[in-house]
Amino acid sequence: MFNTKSSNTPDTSKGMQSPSPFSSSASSPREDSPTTSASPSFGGYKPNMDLTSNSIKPSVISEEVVLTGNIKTPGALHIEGTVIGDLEVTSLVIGPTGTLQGNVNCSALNIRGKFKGASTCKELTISSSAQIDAKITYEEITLQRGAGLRGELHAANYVE
Amino acid sequence: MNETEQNSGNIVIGNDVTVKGVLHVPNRAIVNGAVDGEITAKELVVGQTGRIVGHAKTERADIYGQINQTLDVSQSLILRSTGKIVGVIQYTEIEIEKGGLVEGKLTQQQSAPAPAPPPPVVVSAPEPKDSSADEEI
Repeated sequence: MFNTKSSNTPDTSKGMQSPSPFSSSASSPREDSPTTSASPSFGGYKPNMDLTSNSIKPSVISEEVVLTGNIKTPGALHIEGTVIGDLEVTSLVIGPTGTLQGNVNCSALNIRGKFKGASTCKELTISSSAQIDAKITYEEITLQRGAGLRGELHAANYVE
Repeated sequence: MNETEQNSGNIVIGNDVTVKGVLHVPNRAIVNGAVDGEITAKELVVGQTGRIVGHAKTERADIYGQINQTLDVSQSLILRSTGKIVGVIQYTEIEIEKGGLVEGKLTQQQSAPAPAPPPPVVVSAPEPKDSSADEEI
C-alpha cells in the first residue's frame, strides 16, 4: 500500500511537475512572441514607432488643454492644445489645432498648427495649415504651399 | 496666355552669360547664367546653373538655382530641391521642396491681390436641385 502510494505520489508529482515546467517554458516564449510579433502585426497602423528612435509612447497634449511649462522627453510629443514653454524632445508634432509658444530643441519638427518662438531642429516639415512666426535653424526643410511663415530661417549646414 | 504674349517680352540668359544692370522683363525671364543687379519680370525661372545677386521682383518664381539678397514675389514662390535663397524673401504663397535651402528673413504679404474665387454659376433653366432647395427652406 505504502509502496503503491509512494510510487503513486512521485508519479503524480512527476506528472504534475513535468507539464508545469513544460507549460511555463512554453508559455514564456508564447508571452514573448506576441509582444515582439504583435507590434509589427498591427497591420497598417504602427503607433508612432517610426517617429521615435526609441519605442517610448508619444505624449499628447490634447485639444483645449493649456500647458504652461517646460517639457523634456526622449520620445515624441504631439500638441493639439496650447503649450507655452520650452521643449526638448526628439520628435514634435504641432497638430492643426495646436499652438506652441516658446523654444524648441528637437530632431524632427512637424508643424501643422501655430508656432511662435524659436527652434533648432534637423528635419523641419511645415504643412499648409501652419502659421509660423519664428526663428528656425534647420538642416532640411519641406514647406507645403499655403503655409504662412514669417521670421527667419537658418540652414545649419549653410556656408557663405 | 496666347501665342503672341508667349513669344514677346521674354528673356533667356544662357549658361555662362553674365548680365550686370537693370532688367525689366514684361513676361518670362529664364536665368541660367548670372545676373548681377536688378531684375523685374512677370515670371521668373532660375535654372540650376542660374544665379541672381541683387534684387529680383516677380509675380511667380520658380527657383532651381540661387538668389542672393532680395526676392519679392507677389504671387507664388516655388523653391526646388536644388534651389538656394540667401537674403530677404517677400512672398504671398511659398512652397519649399525637400532639399531647398533658405537662409534669411521671410515676410508674408497680404494675399489680397490674389484672384477671387469665381462667382457661382447662375443656372437659368430650372433643375431638379431646385426642388431640394425649396424643401430645405
